Amino acid sequence: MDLRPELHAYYGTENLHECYQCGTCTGGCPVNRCLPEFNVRAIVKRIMDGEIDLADPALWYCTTCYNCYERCPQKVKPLYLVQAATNIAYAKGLAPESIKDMNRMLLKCGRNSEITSAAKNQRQAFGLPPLKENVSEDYKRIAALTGFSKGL
Amino acid sequence: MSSVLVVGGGISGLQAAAGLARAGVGVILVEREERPGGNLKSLGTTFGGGRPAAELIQQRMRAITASATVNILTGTEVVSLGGVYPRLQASLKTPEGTREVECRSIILATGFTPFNPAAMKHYAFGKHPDVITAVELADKLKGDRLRRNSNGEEPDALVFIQCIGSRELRTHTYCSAFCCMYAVHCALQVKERLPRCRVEVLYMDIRTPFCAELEYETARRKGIGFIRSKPAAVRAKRENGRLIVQYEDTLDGALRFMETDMAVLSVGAEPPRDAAAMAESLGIATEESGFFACEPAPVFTRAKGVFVAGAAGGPKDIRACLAEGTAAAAQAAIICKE
Repeated sequence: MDLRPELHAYYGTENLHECYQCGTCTGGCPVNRCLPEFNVRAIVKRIMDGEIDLADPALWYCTTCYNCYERCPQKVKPLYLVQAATNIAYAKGLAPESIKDMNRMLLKCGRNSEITSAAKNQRQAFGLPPLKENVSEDYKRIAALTGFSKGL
Repeated sequence: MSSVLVVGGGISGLQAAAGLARAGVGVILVEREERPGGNLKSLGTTFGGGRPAAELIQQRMRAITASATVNILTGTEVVSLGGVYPRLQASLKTPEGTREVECRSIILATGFTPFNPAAMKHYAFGKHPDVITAVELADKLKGDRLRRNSNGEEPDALVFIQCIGSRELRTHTYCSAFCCMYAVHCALQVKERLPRCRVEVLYMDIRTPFCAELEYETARRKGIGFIRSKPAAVRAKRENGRLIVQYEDTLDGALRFMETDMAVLSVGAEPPRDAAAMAESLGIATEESGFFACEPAPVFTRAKGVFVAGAAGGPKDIRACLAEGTAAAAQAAIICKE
């Protein structure tokens, strides 16, 4: 898919065309060391070519360590491009199910994981009040306004 | 009164002075260092034919010293420039004291400064003694044996990293034009000295135009490896003190860790350090890059009688510097006859 028309709103300063595919980003990427399918340079190339697959789960592997951002000789900010792609993918409902599950949980209880009985017991032992099982109406309104719920 | 002041005794300034000497024009050639030759002094042989740099300098020096019209001032700094044609002025700080000069023409041949990669901490420059600049490698290649700084041994593997301080929004956006050619030339020299040494060049684009392409072809044939990548990091391997170069081979998308003995940073050209001040005092312009602006290119400037020769007007190879030295000399000689 061609993201370029939508990119500006997410990416800010347009440095995309400055990329000359030198590979400094991927070479220093900690995720790429374990998961070669996440290749920042290749993602930037696909965005430049207007051929990015927004359903690609690898887009979501970025740890936002900022190595690529710091080292890119052309100030392309590859990290922000990956984030732009995930934001647009999310808005179109193309995020992987694992991400959606996590966000459904957030909408339900305000946390990205279930409240375990171990956590409940520990809080009780510390004399803390029990966690709320439901989120407030305000929270739901914010989620609707920001498009958070729409992408699910 | 001397007719022409040549600022800078590098190859361009020497070429200009030698040309003016042949024309019988009075010249003062000012060189900041004790010996003329500029950046060529650190080179052994030059790419595109392999001629010794010292020979290129000596040929011009012979023509200059044989001439009665050229006065060379070494160890001399230009304190200020000014005036307008036909009364251009310069204040010089010579070892003997200050000297005021008036002339009809000034040739700015201030050359370039090699990029200093001190800020490139991710390449371990300044941290590991075996990470050196190409200038240092050229100096090593002038000697008999090529050795590592760390342990004095010959390297089993050596890698060039291209585009250091060139083609980067972070440092200088322009291409310094000569780095690919000198890297290929030096790589071949390393291979010739140490045939068993693995030599690789990490590049983004190899720019060896015209006949330099033949040297690139020779390099590939002689087994020098060319890998398309700008590495992310160079660091020391704890176990043996060698270097690890971490990079993505962009042609197959694989992350690799290369173990090597020496990393050579192919540094580009920076503008001469006082270009802006000189340009302002003479009423000429500088480029966005910081080099003198030639209007129209080559050698002419906005100010009558003021010419630019060689890398002072932007990165160039020796051949182009020689051409511009001659061109500037011709223009200055015409000015002097007006």
